[in-house]
Amino acid sequence: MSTMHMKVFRKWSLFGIFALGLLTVSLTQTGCSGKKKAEQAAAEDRARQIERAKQMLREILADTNSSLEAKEAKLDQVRSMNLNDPEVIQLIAEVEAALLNERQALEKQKEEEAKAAAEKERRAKLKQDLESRFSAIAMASSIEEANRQIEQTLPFFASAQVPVLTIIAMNGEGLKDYDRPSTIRKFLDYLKDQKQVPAQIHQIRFNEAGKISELELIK
Amino acid sequence: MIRFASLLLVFCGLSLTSMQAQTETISPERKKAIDSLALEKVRDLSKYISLVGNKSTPFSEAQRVIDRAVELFTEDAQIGVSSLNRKEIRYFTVRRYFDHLMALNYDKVTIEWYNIQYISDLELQPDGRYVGVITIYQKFTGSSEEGLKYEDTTKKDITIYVERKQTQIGGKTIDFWDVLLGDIRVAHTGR
Repeated sequence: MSTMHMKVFRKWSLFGIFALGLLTVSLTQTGCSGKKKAEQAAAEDRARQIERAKQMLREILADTNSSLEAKEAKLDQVRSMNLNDPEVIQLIAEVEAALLNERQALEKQKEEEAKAAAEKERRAKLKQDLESRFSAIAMASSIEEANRQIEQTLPFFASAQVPVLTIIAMNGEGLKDYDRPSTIRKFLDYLKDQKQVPAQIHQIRFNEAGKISELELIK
Repeated sequence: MIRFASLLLVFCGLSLTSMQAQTETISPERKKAIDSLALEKVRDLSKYISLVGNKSTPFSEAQRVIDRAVELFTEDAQIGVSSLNRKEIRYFTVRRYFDHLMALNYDKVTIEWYNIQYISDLELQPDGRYVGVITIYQKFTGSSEEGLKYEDTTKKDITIYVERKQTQIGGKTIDFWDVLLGDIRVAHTGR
């Protein structure tokens, strides 16, 4: 190779190396910039998710209409986002506490409703039982038998002096006309004497001990 | 002068309240219920008389029934008693009437009331009470073991008083119609 050729080759080599260097720098710069953009996009996406999660959690806390199950499903949705954000974690804890309270209140309400339904049934049965006892007193074959029935009926009442009110007329607006108030003792004796049941049970009131404290009859 | 005017206003107010109470109109349905209630009280009395007159009713039961019967009447009510064997009609207070009934010298007594009906409808009086008259027919039979028997049928008129009253029960005010029986007058006695 001639000296001339050597010079040309060296010149082009230097140029090539320079161009390659330029290309490398350029490529490196482009790569760094893409990674940053991707990181930025991921951060923005996470921030959006955090905001969405916080909004969903606040909505659950403010929600008074949706069912407990719907709220719990929404909470699960937030949990599945796996956002390790302190504010989100704090809000999740608040929602969990609120939903626990709601669950407990709901269970208590159901328990009370079941209790009320059982009490209603007990009272309905008691009403039937009392009506058949009244008939038994009125239809008793002897004074002794009627007295025995009376003694068995009185323990359902708080005392022998429990008031008995008899409605003789009632209008659509709930205005009631009563006969002179009596007592359960007198009423049971009345059934024995008159040998008939003059009125049906309209309402029974109970005291805290579950005994009858007032009886309202209707003709 | 101011005091006089105030007194006059109070008096007028009270008069108006009283007049409103007295002229309170009740619906035909309510009136019917009150009429029925009064008839029922008379039927109750009929049963009480029958029970007390019945010689097989134990003494303690008869005394209790008398107490219930007395509660049906106004305080000063009297019951007339007649007989085919004498002209005059004797009047007893309610309790004395029942004592007399218990002491009748028969071994068996049956008393039955029938044709119980109004002969004078309940009418509102100026004092706010409703007053009416119910008539009944009573068949009395008394017999002794020796075979002696007395029988009569008496027509009797019972004055009925119905008054609106109030009472407190369990902390609430109850308005009720108090039906009270007044004098029982003998209208006619026959066989």
